[in-house]
Amino acid sequence: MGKILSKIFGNKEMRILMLGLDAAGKTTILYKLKLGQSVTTIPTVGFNVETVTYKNVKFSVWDVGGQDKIRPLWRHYYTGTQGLIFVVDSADRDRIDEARQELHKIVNDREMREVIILVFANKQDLPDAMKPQEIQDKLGLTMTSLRQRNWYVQPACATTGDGLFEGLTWLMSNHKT
Amino acid sequence: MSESNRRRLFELLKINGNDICADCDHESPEWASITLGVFLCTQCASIHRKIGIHVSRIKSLKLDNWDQSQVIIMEENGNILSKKLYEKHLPLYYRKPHPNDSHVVREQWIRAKYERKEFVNPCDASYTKGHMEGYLWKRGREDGKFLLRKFVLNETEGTLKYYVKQTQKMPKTSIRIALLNMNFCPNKIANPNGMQLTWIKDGFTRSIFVYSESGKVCH
Repeated sequence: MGKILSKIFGNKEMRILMLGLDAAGKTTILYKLKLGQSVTTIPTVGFNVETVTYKNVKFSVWDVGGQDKIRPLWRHYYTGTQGLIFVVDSADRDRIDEARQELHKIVNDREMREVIILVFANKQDLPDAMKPQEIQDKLGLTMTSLRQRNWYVQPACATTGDGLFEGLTWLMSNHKT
Repeated sequence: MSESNRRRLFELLKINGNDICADCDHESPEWASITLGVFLCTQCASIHRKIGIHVSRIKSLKLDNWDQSQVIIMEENGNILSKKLYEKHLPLYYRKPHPNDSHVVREQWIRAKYERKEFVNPCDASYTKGHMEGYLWKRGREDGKFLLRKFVLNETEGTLKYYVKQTQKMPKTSIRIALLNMNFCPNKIANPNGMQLTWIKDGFTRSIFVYSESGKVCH
């Protein structure tokens, strides 16, 4: 029975690339999804990859370090990506414009033209965190160049896990097979 | 331009005080907080990052680009000056973290020092009150299961007591603090806030294992 069902519905797989400025919370999100625990991470030099199965979808999530000088390495992970998770520290107003520039650089790359874009507005628990609407405006998601793209801003708190699985649900329901 | 900033930054590392981590004395810092103007090791920098940019913004000395204003912050502050401010009223008996200390010791130190600024204005610091009570999970002697127990720390009496039942008047055990030794042992009981308490009673060494859900209580 289980075999028939999985044939009908298929055990879907999805390749996810998770990017964002340093200290946005990418690795914390990865391990909260994978282990259900809030771990203290050290800055990522290089990348982490984990598979997370949720509602019969196997997500392989690539988390690449966000320090200035390693951002040029991001493009090496573009090939085959179906969904982009872009993580933002919602309390970091000083660097939201830098985040906007990086996001536009990624999604306008030839290899990333087709990917769907999930933005985690992370660290919603911090004082004075920007709300999803403000993040959406400041990231320039409503601009003409991005208007026809499929994107969504999900408020989140990686340490408690709030919003993370809602984000995965959006990814799988917007993923065209 | 960025090359000269880089050179200035690495010159600063040679200055006495900047050659070790501002929080745990680990050698050769590779990170810095541009909010506080201090040089840090990877482990301590990770905790600064976890707390958030309202307390400390972290940059890598090697993997990030530095602009001039950020280098100037580092020049104007540095580890020695920062200690004079953030450790001004640090009590002599307070245990500062060492390079190999567990995560919980490091995190509570960093939060006390920069987030709560307990050693800048020491009057409202939790460790000066002389009395504290709360609940810890204690490992059962026979079955090894952890059960919640009330612990009371009293400075005037010089005792740490714990109770089996909340309503009990008589403590299960009263330990004289002078005879008590405490060690963090996160690996031994598989909890990041795990501790082993050892003391001498009637000439015998007794030992219990406890942990708390919050790292702050342990500290």
